[in-house]
Order: sequence, then structure tokens, then C-alpha cells
Amino acid sequence: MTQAAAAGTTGRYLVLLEDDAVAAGTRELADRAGIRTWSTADAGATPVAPAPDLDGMVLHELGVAVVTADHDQVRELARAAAEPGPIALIEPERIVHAIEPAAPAVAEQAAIDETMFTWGLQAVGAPNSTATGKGIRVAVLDTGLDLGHPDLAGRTIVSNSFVQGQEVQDGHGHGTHCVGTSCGPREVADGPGYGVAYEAEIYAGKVLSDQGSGADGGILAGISWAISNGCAVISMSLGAATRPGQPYSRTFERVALRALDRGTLIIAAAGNESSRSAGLVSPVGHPANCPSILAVGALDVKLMLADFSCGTVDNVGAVDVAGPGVDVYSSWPVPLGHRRISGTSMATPHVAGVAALIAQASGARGYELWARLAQTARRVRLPSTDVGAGLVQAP
Amino acid sequence: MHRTDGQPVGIVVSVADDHLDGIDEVVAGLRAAGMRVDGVLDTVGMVTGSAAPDSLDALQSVPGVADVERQHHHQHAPPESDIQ
Repeated sequence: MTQAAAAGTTGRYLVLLEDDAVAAGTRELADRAGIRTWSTADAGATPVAPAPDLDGMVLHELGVAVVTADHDQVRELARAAAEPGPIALIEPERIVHAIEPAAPAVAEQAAIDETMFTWGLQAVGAPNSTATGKGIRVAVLDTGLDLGHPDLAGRTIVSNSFVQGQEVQDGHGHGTHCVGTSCGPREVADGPGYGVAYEAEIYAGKVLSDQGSGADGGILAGISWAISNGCAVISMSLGAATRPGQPYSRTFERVALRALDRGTLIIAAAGNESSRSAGLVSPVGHPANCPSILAVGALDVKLMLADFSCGTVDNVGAVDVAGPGVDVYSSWPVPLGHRRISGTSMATPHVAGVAALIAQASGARGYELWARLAQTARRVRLPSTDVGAGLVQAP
Repeated sequence: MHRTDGQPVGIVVSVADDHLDGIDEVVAGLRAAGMRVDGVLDTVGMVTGSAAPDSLDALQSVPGVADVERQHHHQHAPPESDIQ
């Protein structure tokens, strides 16, 4: 191995020529150092190999010469570079390599101990954060809430039903699970702590019926209610499946922009319509596919993508961040009390809870809150089309 | 009121930014063009309700209307499902 190769250089040199002084610089190379070059300007558009009896080539468009030079010639060119004139800089040409994919993580993550906290809380770093969500209002728009759940006793809960003929009381379970993950407790009598923003004020809006169904009108009414009440975060574990190429709703996009202007960030589930093990990736659902709504994908305990998690398949519908969404333990209406289920619906309230912690710790709202969520997200070895900026992290 | 045909469909009407202060007039215009109004969401500048499919063009042309969209339907998996 030559000395140059050992140093990661080729033995040739790059000579940077001053702007608009390529011709003069080329002459200077010859006059001062006896270096004869050919120029890409002479060759036209067709790249050709330099004649073997020349010392190098001038990349005319770049104003850079690549030359072979001996020790004396290098010293002369360095002197020229130090003086006023067309030669600006000389430096050794480096050897570059194709950037290879990083080696996969060596050891598989050990099974996580959920004695104290759910794996999801641990994955987002909630137990290590001093933030609690205190003073932050978090709206969860879903099937309502089991208002008598013992785990939420003593908490500030404001609720409203936007489903005709049905009370807030959760007759499905989905809403109670999502409230638990975003705002539930850290200390529970008979199981792990599972709530991210455990001192946040809970705004439970029932926009889906006890049968789990609803329409845009009720959801928009819930969003309007949450904004009017000064909620910094709206968590929406709901959506309608979309087809590839289907445009996003201009209505929900406009609502999301107006919400951001009022300091409210809307966070929504990307959807569960994929079947990745069968090769199917389905597009982000409505309304998470709106550019100004933060769309959440789901990860499992090994920080691998959930099989069902929707992804970006075309120019519509970006996944913005990811959260824990497989085997998620949280509250369920009594008598069952707790349940372990999976879905981007479970990843979304993790992100909403982390958003509340960041909002409390930093004072950030709206676009700034979005930026901080993405900026501080832990990067994972998965495509941005599936996880966006990565796994959100508590401050 | 315009004559309309077909079963009414759920719709959401976006009020344009420059008409948010006069949303009541927009709502009156929507009613006159055949919309049954369920909710006026001042905070987000939206009007929810229903209308016959063939009246949507007329609603779109009401002054102050930015967009008329059909409502999507949202459906959770049943409570017993492992994936929600």
C-alpha cells in the first residue's frame, strides 16, 4: 500500500480555481508548475479519458482541476494558492467508498419487564421524564370513557357526547383504552402503570357510538369542542380506510390548520389495513392522511413495524411518527378493568401523551409542538414511509 | 328552496377564511340551497348536515363556501377484536 493510499488519498490533487477564472487558472497551472491539462470544456458533453501524456483535467463547470503533481509542483501550487490569483486552494484527492448499509443491531432486545410499567411507557422513555402533563388538556375523541373506572378516580375529567342518543359512558371499550394510555395512571394496584401524561386534564369526547361507528360530522364537532376548551392535544384513534391515490380531505386539512393556529395539535392513527406479512401495505387512512394532522404508525416491543400498520404508498398520506402499538396494556371498562390489545389506535395515545409531556415541559403548542415531537423522536431502522421521524420520546 | 332529488347524504361544508366572521349568513345561504344543517362549528368554521346528492353543486356556489365534502364513515373493530 502506498503512503497516499494508507492516508485515504490517491496521490493526486484537487486544485480549486477562483470563480470565473478557470481559463486563467488553467494557464497558471502550466506556467507556474508545468502541469498540462485538458478541459471538459474542450470535450463538450461527452466525457472522454484524458490523454496519457497530460498531467490532469480541468472540470470546467466546477472550476476544479484534478492533477498529478510531484512534491515541488505541490509546493509551488500551494504558494500560488496563498497569493492573490486564479488558484484558490490545493488539497489531496480522497478515496471515497459507497456508503454501505449499517450492520443490523447485534443482539435482539431482551424481553421487557412490565412489572412496574408497560413496555410502551418504557419505549417512549416516560418513566424517566419529570414531566407529568399537569396543566395540559388532552382531548381523546373516541367511543367515550368508563367514567367510573377506579384507575381514574380523583382525576379532572371533562366529557361530552357528540353521538345522538348515547351518553359519554363507553359501551365499547376502545375509548377507555385510549384515555388510559394517553392520560392514565403510573401506579396501579394490580398491574403495571400504563398512562403517559398521568396528570393531564382529560377531555373525553364521544364521537363514535358504543358500536364503534360514527361520521365526520361528530368528529368535527368533537374537534371544535376540544379547541374551544383550549386542549393542546387531540388524540384521534379513528379513521376510514383509503384507496391508493385518493386525495386527502380538504375539509379536515383546513380544520387541522385552523386548530394549529389556535395552538391545538391533532394526532391520528395511520390505520390498520396493512397485512405486511402477505406483502400488502395499505395507505394512511382518513383523516390521518391530511398533511397537517400528525399520523402515527405502530411498533412492537422489538421496535419492528406492526404487521397491520399503514404506510405511505404514494404522494398522499405520510406517516409522521411511530408509537408502541402491539400488545398494549391499558384500561378497559369494568368489570374487566384492563386489557391488552394492538393497533395504530394504541400507538396514537402514546404519542398524544408524549405530546402533552413536551407541551408541559417546553410550553410548545401547535406547529412548534409538532416540530419538537419529530425532532426528539428516536430514529429506528425502518423506512420513513412507515415510521416518519421514528419513535416519539418523552422530554 | 331548490328542488332536490335522491336520498340525503351527510356532508361537511367548509366556510372560507374571509367569511368566518359572517358564518350565519353562509348558513342561511346553505339552508336556502337545500342543506339540512345539524351543526354550526364556529371554532373551526365548519357546517355539518345533510343534503341531496344533486344539490351539492348549488351548495358549493353559496357565497362564503370553500368546500363541500361528503362525510366519511368511521368504524372500529368489534370490542372483542385483538387488533383495534
